[in-house]
Amino acid sequence: MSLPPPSTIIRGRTWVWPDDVNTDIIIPFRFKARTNDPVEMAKYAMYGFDPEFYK
Amino acid sequence: MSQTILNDDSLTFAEKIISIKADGGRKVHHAGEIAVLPADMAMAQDSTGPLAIKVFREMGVQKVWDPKKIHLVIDHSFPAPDEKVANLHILIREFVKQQGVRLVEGSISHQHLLENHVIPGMVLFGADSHTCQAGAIGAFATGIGSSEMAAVWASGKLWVRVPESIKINLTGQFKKGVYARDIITHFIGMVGEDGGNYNSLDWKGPAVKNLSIASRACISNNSMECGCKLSIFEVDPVTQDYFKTANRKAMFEIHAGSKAHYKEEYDIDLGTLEPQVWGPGNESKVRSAGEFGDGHLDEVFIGSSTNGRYEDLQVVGKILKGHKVKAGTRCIITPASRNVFERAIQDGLVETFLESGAVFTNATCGACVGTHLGVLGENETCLSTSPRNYVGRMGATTAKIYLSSPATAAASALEGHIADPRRYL
Repeated sequence: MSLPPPSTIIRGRTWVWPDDVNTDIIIPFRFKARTNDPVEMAKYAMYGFDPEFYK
Repeated sequence: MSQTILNDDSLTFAEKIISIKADGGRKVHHAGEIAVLPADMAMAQDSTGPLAIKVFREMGVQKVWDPKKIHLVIDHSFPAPDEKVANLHILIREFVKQQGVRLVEGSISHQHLLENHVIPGMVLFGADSHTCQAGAIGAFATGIGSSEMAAVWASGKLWVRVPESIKINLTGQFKKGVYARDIITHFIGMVGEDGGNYNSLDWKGPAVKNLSIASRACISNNSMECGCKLSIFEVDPVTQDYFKTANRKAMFEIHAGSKAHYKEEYDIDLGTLEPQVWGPGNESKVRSAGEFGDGHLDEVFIGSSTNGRYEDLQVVGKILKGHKVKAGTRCIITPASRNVFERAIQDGLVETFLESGAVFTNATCGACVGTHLGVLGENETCLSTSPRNYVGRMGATTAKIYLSSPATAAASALEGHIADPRRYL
């Protein structure tokens, strides 16, 4: 596979998680069950690995 | 053309059902191809439904494609444990009223659909990963996300990639104390959490005929935990009897061709299985119940869409009868549906549960999804018959969740640690 053109390369920090990232890690059900607002949901993103991740 | 596809000796179950349904059966779709599949039924629950409603409204669509084919099920937190959930339930009820779609409250969606609606040969999309349970009766059933569900509500269709298939050949007979749950736990332990990724698991072999619909539903449901797209038991006399009793007719009875291609094949001799327990966390650590020490269990949860059926509660009743749940361990029993709840009361099972010191709740996903009726606190340990042991699934991220059959869970409730159920049977 060839590299994408330079203009599409985004530079910045990356987070590396272990394998088998499941849906309860991405957002625990007990938080998702209480809102349908994506901004509110974002506060619990990756909560299972790092509760502070959204900051 | 549909008949030609049904009779084709070279096609898998997944290839056949997708080919029959997509493009009106005019074209054969092989594994790996993309097809647009019309839905015969669509289901969303109270956790995925509200977001689907939001997306549906943002799409600017006025009416759903077919209100009779759409089910909204309030099951993940029923009755509402707090105000935020209660408000989302109101949103769902308003949408149901506005669109004229179906609503059920207080039965777990997968069990409710199995008892009342799904039929062999249908296409079911559900905004819940364990929708694959309906593969147990020979349906194409798979989980999708909330925004995809909004698209299904609007169009009645969804694109799918035709999955490859994995064959599992079941032989032999269970030893005492071993059940369907032990088959699927053993299988996941064997292949790992990604061992079935986007594949159709096709359960075959001479031992299938001895598995009830409830047992098949347990296996198809829990197959999600190795990433499957579908988990299929083809229609056989057991399925036919079930639908005769239920007074519902199949759309199609689909059987994989004898020369169908399977990317992998596994053999499981039921006679070699011990009661299985799946340890907590992100790794697949499955061992026999007897291999665990006497670590204290704070909670034993028996229920969920995987193992909250009448057949499960009967085994639990047999084990708990005349015994007491260990002091310091709470045992929570939650039926999968209103129907199971009522039968358990009528047949005296609930009396046995209560005499043993267990708690019997209404039907809800509750403890399994950490919303209510069995949430775990910091560093607590639980043995559960629910499908998932993900970190933080049932509450605190420091809590540990072990998974087993209802029999192993009931025996463990009596001893306060993970225990082999056979001494109680």
